[in-house]
Amino acid sequence: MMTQTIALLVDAYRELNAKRLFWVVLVLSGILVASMACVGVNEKGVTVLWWTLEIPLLNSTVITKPVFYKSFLFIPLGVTIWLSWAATILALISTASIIPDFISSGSIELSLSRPIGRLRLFLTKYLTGLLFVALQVTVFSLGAFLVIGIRGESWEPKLFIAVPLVVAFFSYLYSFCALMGLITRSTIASLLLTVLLWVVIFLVHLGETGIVLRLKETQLMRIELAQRAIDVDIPKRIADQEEKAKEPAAPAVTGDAEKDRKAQDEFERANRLAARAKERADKARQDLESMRTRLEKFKEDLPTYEQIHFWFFTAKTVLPKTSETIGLLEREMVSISDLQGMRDAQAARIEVSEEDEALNINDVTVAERMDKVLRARSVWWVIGTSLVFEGIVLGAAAWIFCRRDF
Amino acid sequence: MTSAAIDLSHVSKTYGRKVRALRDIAMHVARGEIFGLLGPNGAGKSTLVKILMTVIRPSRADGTMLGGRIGDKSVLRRVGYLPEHHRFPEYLTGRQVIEFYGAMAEVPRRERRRRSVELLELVGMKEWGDTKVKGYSKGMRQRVGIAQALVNDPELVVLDEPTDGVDPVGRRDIRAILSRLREQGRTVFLNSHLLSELEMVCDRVAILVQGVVSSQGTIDELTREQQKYVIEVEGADPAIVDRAMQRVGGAPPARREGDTITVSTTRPEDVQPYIDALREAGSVIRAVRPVRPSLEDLFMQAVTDPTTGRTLAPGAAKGDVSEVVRGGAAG
Repeated sequence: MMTQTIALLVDAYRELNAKRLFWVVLVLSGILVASMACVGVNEKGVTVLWWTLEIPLLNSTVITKPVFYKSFLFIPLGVTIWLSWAATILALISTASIIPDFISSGSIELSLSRPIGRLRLFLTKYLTGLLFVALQVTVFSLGAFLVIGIRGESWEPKLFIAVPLVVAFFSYLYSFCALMGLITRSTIASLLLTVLLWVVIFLVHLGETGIVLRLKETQLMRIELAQRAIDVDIPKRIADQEEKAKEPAAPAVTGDAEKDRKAQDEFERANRLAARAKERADKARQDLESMRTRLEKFKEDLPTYEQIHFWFFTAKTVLPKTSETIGLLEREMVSISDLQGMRDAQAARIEVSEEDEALNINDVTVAERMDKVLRARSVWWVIGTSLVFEGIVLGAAAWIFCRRDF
Repeated sequence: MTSAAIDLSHVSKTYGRKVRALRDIAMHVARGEIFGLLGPNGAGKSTLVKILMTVIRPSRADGTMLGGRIGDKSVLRRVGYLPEHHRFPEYLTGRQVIEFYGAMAEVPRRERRRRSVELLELVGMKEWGDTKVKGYSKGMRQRVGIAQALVNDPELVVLDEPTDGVDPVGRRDIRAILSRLREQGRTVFLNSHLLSELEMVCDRVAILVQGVVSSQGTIDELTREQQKYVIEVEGADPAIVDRAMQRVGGAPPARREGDTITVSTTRPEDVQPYIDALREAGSVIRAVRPVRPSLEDLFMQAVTDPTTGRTLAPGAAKGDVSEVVRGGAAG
């Protein structure tokens, strides 16, 4: 049994080795790792080789070196853009032909006529298709590990979580590609249909996380903050102002003209302050009414957001979660507190609407809340449901493969 | 252990409900013989081979191959197979092809290495063993194909059109390999269009037409059944010859074409009345000889509709599946 499995793995490696694209991707990965090594961060800003670009929002006073390498280079550029987009597209182009070629007439007979069960043959062949990405991400992670260790002065073995995560991410798409390859027997058709599925997944993700969840969470923040303003902040403001608005007692006449004039001035100033406090208390009462009206409106709009979000979330639960799977890497490697300094610096520069300013809501506070919501999503929901999708797709493919006459 | 390498009864394959690729096939291949399967395009030859090799799932298949039931994967360890129009991975060398398919047949690594060297030499590809398959000609691919079919030291070798695309020298080499396999006691199941090739190497043959075995046996048995006697007369008046033939009573029918009279019989005594009648009529008999049909004659006879005299349409039989059950045929 092992002889056959090893033979299929060695054959898969030889097949990859024969593909120019495999080496092109590997070289590009090497260039990217080398580029990461050339970039750094100091107290003034970002360094590129021996030059420094002064960036107030991005320097070692707001972000540590390891977090800079992890959060600004390795995860967003290396994993999210390079491995999860560019390298994945190249990997799909390279591996989409594996199943159609495998089942082509003249080739499949040679494999099926061996003492190996169809199910094992198909699943082993499928797994060998993941070899491309597994090798690429392992080499890239190793390079990044060394760069972060040497340049970022932090050795991060957790970084190798990228290997299973990126392979899992690719496997969601590749399982579908294998099924399509089996049904259509065409490399181009299976590749295009897989890219189409990926676009659908991306749009659902964009809709759910990028738009609907943001709107819903912003609305929830508004409700929470408005409620707090109605229950605590504004009544306290009213009470404070009412306290200050108490009319002062008229000063007693002493007969000393100078003293009486001073006391009168003081009395008038206190009266003015009390009048102003009274005005403020009235304004706070108006604010309270206004806030109550706004709260009603926020509550009124919330079910619509929740309903739309529910459908997006349901669709997303069924589909594989490509972005979230990669997002797990950041969850594991970077804590929210790691990013706090930079967010504070950002928050000071953000312009917000008048309505949200009153509630102290801005892009940074919403991003923080979104982060918490997204990080609260369980690993089971992210990977488990995606693997269920993959299992169903792969099960269908295996069933077709086992039943088909070639 | 049974003496049959392949013993089939009731093998059928129907696609959908209409296309009957194989109809109740019964076939017996003895161990140590070279068995030839012939038939026109679409007769079901490759389908039958693919059923044996578990590439196609039969609608029904009773019987055994090397003592195991049809479809038993473990039996395939002892079987070598070269499919028709095979495609080896282009990135492999000839040696790697042999070793890869050896590994797939669970041949131990050291054994694979040793066998690949021997087999490359056997098929005349020793010098090309380390060249990638993409640089091979059709004939070279065929030779490597035969080598990979032998890598697991099989008891039964199934070859589907092994001489396809091979030049005459290569065909002769392949025939020599087949003969050597027989000498080693292996069974060879050969599927080919080339009747002359089969005639030269096969011990027994079966003719498959529209999914049915129309005849099977040794070439001698099949041709003996169809044997005829030819009487050649010299310069005789055709009318006199015809009258002499009409006078013969109780003998098998005869047919005259020019100076040649063909008597459909395998018994020499049945020819005597014709000889007597012709001599009485004063005809000069130049020669009397038995004639056996060639494999091609048998083949053409099998693919000709006896009622219309036309060649049967190529491809599988079509019709209601229930007819298959009622009217299955066997050789």
